[in-house]
Amino acid sequence: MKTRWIIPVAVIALLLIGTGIWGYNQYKTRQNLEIFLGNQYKESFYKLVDRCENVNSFLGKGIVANGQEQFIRNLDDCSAAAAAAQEQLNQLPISNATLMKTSKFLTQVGDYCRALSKENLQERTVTGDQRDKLQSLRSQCANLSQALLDLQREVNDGTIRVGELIKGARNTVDDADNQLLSNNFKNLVESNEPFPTLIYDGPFSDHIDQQQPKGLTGGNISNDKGREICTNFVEYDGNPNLVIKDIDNAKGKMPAYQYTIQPNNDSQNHTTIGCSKKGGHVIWFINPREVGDQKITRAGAVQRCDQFLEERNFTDMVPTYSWIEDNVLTISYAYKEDDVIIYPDLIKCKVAMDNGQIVGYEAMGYLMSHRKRDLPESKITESEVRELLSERFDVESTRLALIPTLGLGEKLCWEARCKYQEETYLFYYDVETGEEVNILRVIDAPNGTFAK
Amino acid sequence: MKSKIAVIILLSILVMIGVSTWELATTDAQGGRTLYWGSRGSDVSALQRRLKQWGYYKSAVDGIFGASTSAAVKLFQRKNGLMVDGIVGAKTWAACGFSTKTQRTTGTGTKGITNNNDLDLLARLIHAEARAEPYIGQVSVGAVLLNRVRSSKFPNTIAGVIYQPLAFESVANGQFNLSPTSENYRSARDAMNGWDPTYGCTFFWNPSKKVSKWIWSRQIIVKYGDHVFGK
Repeated sequence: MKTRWIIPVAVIALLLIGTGIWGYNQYKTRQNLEIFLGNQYKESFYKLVDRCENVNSFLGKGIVANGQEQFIRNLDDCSAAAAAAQEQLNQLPISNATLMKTSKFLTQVGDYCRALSKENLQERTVTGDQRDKLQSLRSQCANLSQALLDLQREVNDGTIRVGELIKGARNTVDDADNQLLSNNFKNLVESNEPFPTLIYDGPFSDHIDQQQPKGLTGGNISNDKGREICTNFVEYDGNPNLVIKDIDNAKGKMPAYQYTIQPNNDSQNHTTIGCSKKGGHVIWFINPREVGDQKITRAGAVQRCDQFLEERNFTDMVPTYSWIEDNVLTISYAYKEDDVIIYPDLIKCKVAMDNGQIVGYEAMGYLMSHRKRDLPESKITESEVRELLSERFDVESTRLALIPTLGLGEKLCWEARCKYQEETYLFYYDVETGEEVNILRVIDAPNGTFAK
Repeated sequence: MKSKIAVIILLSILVMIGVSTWELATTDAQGGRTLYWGSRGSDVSALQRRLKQWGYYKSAVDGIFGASTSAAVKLFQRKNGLMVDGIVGAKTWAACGFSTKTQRTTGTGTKGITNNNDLDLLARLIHAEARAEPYIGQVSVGAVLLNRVRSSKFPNTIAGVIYQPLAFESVANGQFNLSPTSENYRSARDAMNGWDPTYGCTFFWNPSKKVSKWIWSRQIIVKYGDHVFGK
């Protein structure tokens, strides 16, 4: 009788010990993981500080360089270091709301150096203004390095703990950042003193964000008019009764009315469509219905699509590349003016290969860039280009093409399609200078062709 | 007496196993949780939306599995040759076009135009962040991700953007590892091919959830389903 209570107590004690061991193991594992993770973050941090100092030093050397070769080499090294710094920066466990400005700064430093090095490749034409820009980038970069060093000190002496940053991620991110980040770093990223505005011929130049659509001709239209335009634009076989609903309008640079359209007896076959308030141009639509087995040929599908565009008054569009995925053929069209392919004026269509219905349309590229252009006279003849290339390649065809440059500029070029061994390449030569502007490789995959 | 002790020990062990696997179970269940009368959540909304799209369900999409949802499920099961029990298990989920744990959808086998790894990552993120959203909402989430890759303010690869610390809640809590459906792949492909219903946005959030105050300083461009998209 007396020993009866011993057994349950022993069991409970055993359980407690078991729980204790289990808990301790859990704690150890968690601690190890936290240390591991913390080490990863610290590594990123050290690398970031290091790369930033590299950027600083290459910029300095680039500015003082007298010789052409040193100038180019230091700018190129700086651009590589800036790209590496940006990558490490985005590994830090800090919300991107806080990092965005710094990330943009590092991307632009690299991009600007690359553009400048390219511009000066043949001949040194760097201006005092450009040198001032480099100098101001350098002093910004020094501020960043200093702030990073302060932050690093706080991480090292334990003022900032990685575990807390991670915990912060689960709550509202910005509050966590605010409590934990060093004041210097915060001041830097939140300071009202803007990083210098950089305009140059590169993909991250400040003018890219400010680009306005050039292809939106015509006056503002009403919602009723937009609805009518969109209803007439989509195509449904056999004129079913269409149910049209207004959905949220799009704001921003290209304000648009948006609708959903569906036949009243077939809710699967529904389309979402947007058309610009200015001029009533259809910007895009998608019909996400599942597409059955292929019943029409590829050529037939392209022909259907040509017809679709022609009926909507796009008479000068030529198909360039196309590919099939899930029984849907996506065709990329470019505008053709006289005998020149205008690649920036791009429209993409999707054709369902089961019945030839157009199930997707995308004209953002066309609407952003289409306009009447004054194309330069070609100073280089077609035969000159052919002659240059025929030494090493089989030239299959040549034509004039307007191609986009990195910074939204456009260049008129001779496009030459050449065979090299088993591969096909596209060469682009500036019609004014004869410079080799770009090379693309044509990839013939089983589902389509495209250039890279 | 002995059996009592055995029961206590057994129960305690069960509790311990339960505690240690609970975390796992809660994160895993979302993929193909069994739904029945009384269930609530975003997966119920997804089910209702799908059934509504196909004409089985007539009431509002409210995320609550009640009488009308049950009736719709039964009707759907009858029409599709499933066991008519009003419970949404693996088979009914599959028939609705959602993937479940037992039925893993891997790549769809199309190669070429885009790197398949990238497509896979994109489809996963769409699944994790927007599986209960309408199709356009899914394409939009994919487009936001690709806009970030192109932006100077974010990492410049798809993997970089997805795994950026603190960028996506679904990546932090493991939802990202669930298998996407064929619909997620199709919407990922539309985004890859250049369709952008967000007109260049780099942020999206669900206004009905707790989000950081900072996010409201963004310019809102458009709203699809439960998400607003901003720059």
